[in-house]
Amino acid sequence: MRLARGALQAPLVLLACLTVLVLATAQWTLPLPYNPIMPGAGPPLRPPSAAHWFGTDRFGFDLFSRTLAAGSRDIPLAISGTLVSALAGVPLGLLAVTRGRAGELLMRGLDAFQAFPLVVLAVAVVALTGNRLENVVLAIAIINVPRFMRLVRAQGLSIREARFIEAAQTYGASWLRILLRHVLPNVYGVVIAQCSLTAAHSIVVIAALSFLGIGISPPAASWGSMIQAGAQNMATGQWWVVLFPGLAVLVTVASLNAIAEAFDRRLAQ
Amino acid sequence: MTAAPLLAAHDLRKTFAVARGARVHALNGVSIAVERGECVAVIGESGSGKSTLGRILLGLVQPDSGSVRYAAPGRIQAVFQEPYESLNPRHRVHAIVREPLDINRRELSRAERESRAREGLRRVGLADEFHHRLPRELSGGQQQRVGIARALILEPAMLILDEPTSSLDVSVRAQILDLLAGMKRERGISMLYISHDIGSVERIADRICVMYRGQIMETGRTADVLAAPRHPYSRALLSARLVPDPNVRTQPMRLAGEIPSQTSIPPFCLFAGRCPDEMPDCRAGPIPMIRTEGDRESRCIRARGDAADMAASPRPDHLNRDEETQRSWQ
Repeated sequence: MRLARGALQAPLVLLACLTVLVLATAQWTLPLPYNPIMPGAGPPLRPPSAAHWFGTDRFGFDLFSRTLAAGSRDIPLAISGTLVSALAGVPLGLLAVTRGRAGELLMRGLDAFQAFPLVVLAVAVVALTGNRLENVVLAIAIINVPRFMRLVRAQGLSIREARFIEAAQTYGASWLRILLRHVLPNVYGVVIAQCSLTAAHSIVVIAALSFLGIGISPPAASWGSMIQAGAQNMATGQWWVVLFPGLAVLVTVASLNAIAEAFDRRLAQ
Repeated sequence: MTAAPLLAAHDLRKTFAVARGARVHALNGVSIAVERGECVAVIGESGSGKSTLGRILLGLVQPDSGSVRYAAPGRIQAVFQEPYESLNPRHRVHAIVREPLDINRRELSRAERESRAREGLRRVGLADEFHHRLPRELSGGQQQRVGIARALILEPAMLILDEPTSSLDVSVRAQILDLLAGMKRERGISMLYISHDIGSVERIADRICVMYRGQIMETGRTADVLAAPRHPYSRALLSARLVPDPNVRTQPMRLAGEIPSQTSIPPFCLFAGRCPDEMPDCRAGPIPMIRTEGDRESRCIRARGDAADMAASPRPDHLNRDEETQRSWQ
């Protein structure tokens, strides 16, 4: 309750929530001026104008429609990929904080796992399990679970030495209670910061995967693939092809950041 | 009449591994007893092992050898040196104080535990407006009150206080000491008070143990030890105390050198080499605790001699920073 009330009290956070919501659902809720997956909606590579607000790319796609439509795929995928990464990585990282064999084993296992180039591993896994959107989430998780684990473990190891942990031992707190009630709340801050970074990075991963023909494939749009395609046009002066999807990523990440920070402030018990 | 003491530790020894296989000897045979309702102070310079002693008595560290007997139900509770660091920064004050009940008194309803926590906070002088704050929103003195409320919430028979006032302002320190003295008086709680602040020890402790290099060098009633320390180390330690009167000139007795390496402990008096009163016999073998008079004990072979002789301890103006003169005291 307190969480919801606090989040809604801050106008900036409300604005951020709205932005993400709008960008994530624009394809279905906003009247797009053109069909986002229809090439030749206008002449190719035209700068922003009254007819095409964000201009057109080299296939004549309407970039305004396309930028809005891409968010409906990118944002849900990035957020669910991030949540899956955090939900798996945080408990594993906490477990690795415990003294003794289990934690050590977990970390050595992680070392072995990370010895593989993870992006390549993610691509291989998606290629083997089928080219479905859920597998993009899996790929994001493969890349990011180790990061959450290491982050939580590093933070947890320093918290484990804190005086308040020692104090909790003097009144009989079990190790599970110490992990959940004392260590975990003190890693929320870094976990949430990592979440907004991961969400941003996920948009890049989605782009890389779609470049390899995995996940979102043309003519469906993603911001990452739009930026990648538009990069070729930068040198020849067609800046708008890259700029608008880039701005969309920026606005999304900034909004997710603001939301994450609001959560962090509210999670103090 | 002589009931067993509430807490009795016998011959505690503890070493910690440090680099290259060396071991630091933190405790070298410490025996200490605390009676019911008694406050025993452990004083000594940094590195003397007093905090390790506290941690062993709390069960946070296992001793290498020796025994601890605690003759009361429940746990010994602790108040720590840095109040802010001993409180979880993510927990609100009422939840911090309630947590020991949440763990140990599950049979109580949550509402009952909550109301006990609130009552405990009020008893240490924290009004309701502070109960929902985070530790960082309190002053140092208020934080330490929270630490004390948490330590008292399980109604322990004994508290271990590890320098509870050393990080506080002088005026706040007095308030916290008053609070602790009140708890001792009203509830008869036993205390082990670890400190190097002689002034606060004087106010609250019934008995003093002076520690040096992991051994208790001297013990006795607070007033007796402070008025006339028997052991040369106690004399040096107490001569460094400040007197709250600007007209009184004190001259601290200077000892040569620092605390020597703790990685090797000689098989004779641990104060030999820094002691102004050293004699050849001091290096003949380990020195036991020697009862001087009444309930006073000193780990110094000179205590074996005439007690009356010992009573005439040197006056401060005999103390001199010149090591040569110190050696020619006797």
